[in-house]
Amino acid sequence: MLVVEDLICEYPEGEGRTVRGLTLPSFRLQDGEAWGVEGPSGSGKTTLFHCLAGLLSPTRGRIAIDGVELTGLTEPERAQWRGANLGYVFQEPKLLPFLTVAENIRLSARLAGKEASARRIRDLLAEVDLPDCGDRFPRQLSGGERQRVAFIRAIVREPRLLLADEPTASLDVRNSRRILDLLLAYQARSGCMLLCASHDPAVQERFARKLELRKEEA
Amino acid sequence: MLRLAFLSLWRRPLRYGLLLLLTAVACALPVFVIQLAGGLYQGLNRAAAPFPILAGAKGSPYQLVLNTVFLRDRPIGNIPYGEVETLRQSGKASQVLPLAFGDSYRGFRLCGTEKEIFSYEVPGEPHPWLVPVQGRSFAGPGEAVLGAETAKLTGLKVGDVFQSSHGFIAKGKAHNHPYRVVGILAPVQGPYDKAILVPLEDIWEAHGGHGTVGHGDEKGDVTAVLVRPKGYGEAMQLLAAWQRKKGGPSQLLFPAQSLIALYGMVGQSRQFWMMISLGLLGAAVLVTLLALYWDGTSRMEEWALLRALGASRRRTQALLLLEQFLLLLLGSTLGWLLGWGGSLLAAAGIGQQAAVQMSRAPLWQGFLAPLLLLGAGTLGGVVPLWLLRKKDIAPYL
Repeated sequence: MLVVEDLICEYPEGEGRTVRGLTLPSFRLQDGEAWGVEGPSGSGKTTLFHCLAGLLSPTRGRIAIDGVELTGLTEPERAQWRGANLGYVFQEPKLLPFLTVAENIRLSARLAGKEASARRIRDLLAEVDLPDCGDRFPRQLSGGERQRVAFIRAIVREPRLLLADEPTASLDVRNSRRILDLLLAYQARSGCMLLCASHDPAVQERFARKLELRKEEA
Repeated sequence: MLRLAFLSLWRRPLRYGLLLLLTAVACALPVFVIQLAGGLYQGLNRAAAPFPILAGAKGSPYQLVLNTVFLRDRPIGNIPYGEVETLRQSGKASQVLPLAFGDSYRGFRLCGTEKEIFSYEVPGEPHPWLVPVQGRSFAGPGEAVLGAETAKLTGLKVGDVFQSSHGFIAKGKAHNHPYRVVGILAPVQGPYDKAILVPLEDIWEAHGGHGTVGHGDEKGDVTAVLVRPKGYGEAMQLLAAWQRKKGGPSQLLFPAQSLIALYGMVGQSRQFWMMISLGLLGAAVLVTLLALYWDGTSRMEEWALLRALGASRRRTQALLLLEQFLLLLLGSTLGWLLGWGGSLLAAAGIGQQAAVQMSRAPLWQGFLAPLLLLGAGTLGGVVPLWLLRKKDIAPYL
């Protein structure tokens, strides 16, 4: 279960001023739940995800996942927690350009403390219709194909919490639907918690429960 | 992590090729200078090692050393054979060998001496200096033993006959004095590889009327005398005795002392090149660090991604440091090979032109430049890491 209480994130912005990046009421995401996260640009969707991933420390508030107080962990502990529990799908696929598709996936698994055999990687790639792409480099794939690889890279870790930050923003309609189908199918199958941020109504309508963020001034 | 660092470099040859080249060239120059200067130093030392003490006509000590040790330049003049006997009778020398120059064959100098030279041992060496590997040493008049290079370059073989010329140029005036090759020496990696050893009496005979002549039992002149003292004390006593003998026909010197003065001159030039090389090395370290910092900032997205996937900050920093280390290691190694290879080419060129055979073995000093570059570069690599550490990765995700 994910517990978020009274989260506030502020950034320093020179001359003593601060910008409030996020103000969030408390919410709880139960195991096996999938929520959409919606809000206009600048409302703090990405900031929320960075806080949930332990990449950013909130100014105030509390985040606990499966009983682990994320806000109380040190940076190395947060990195370890992230590796073991988190899957992250970004707006852009962000694959390492000097590694092949299979190596990108294997590295992700290793950083989660898991081993991904060549056969498992092949099977996972076959699931997203990329059966023979393991030896290719990211530059040899289309945008939609890269995003599917990024999805495999996130789920090969068997995460407890899957964060998808605008995963369809740079894709066409067909590829958007494909990625969303894959995310939801995996969430249903694995029982992990899923938060999917998007400003696309077509994406948001796929989620029964939603977390709505509003833009605030400091 | 090592594999990841290696792949990051290996699969981006354009990105890192230029940096690698820069590192290699910066490292190669000091290695080249050190190898060349050190090789020359060792070559000069090796050439002078068989000559602990020289006696010769009064005049420039450098000229005497150049003429006798390096077989270059003209002899100062001659001294009577009586000087050889005086030195032998002094009781302070274990070996005294006369050397007479003045003739050549196709530019290769004839060295008139006595057959005891084939049993002469260089101080500190367990074996004789000049040993025939083909044929034998000379035993009588008209016989010649060729240095290894002389045999190779002239094509003369054991049993061949040649006529010597007066002077040291290839087309000098021919003597009517034939020699038969009876032996070829093992290489000594020094000027005497290009010598032709003949009996002293043959030089006297060929020079009838040129000043080194001897008739019947009468002894002629010699150009120099090679002396191996019994010990350090005896060497100093000999030198003192010769200095007291102001009116004598000869001077006595330690060739090593003349070489030390020579090193002083070479050393200044070596220091000049070392300063330039170290400056280049320092500039290369700086440019490499700037390039690494630029590289690090341009790859923030990659570091951010690795962090998001669960790699700690320390681990991503270690990866960057490892990449830098590998790059510097490869560049330094390549640079050392370039510098050493260049010095080998230069040594080959110098070996053909000069009397000194430069040492080609890698010198330990030559490893300092790559080690310095590797050490300074890796330590300096912490600076860009420290700067990158302060960067917020969130905007890159």
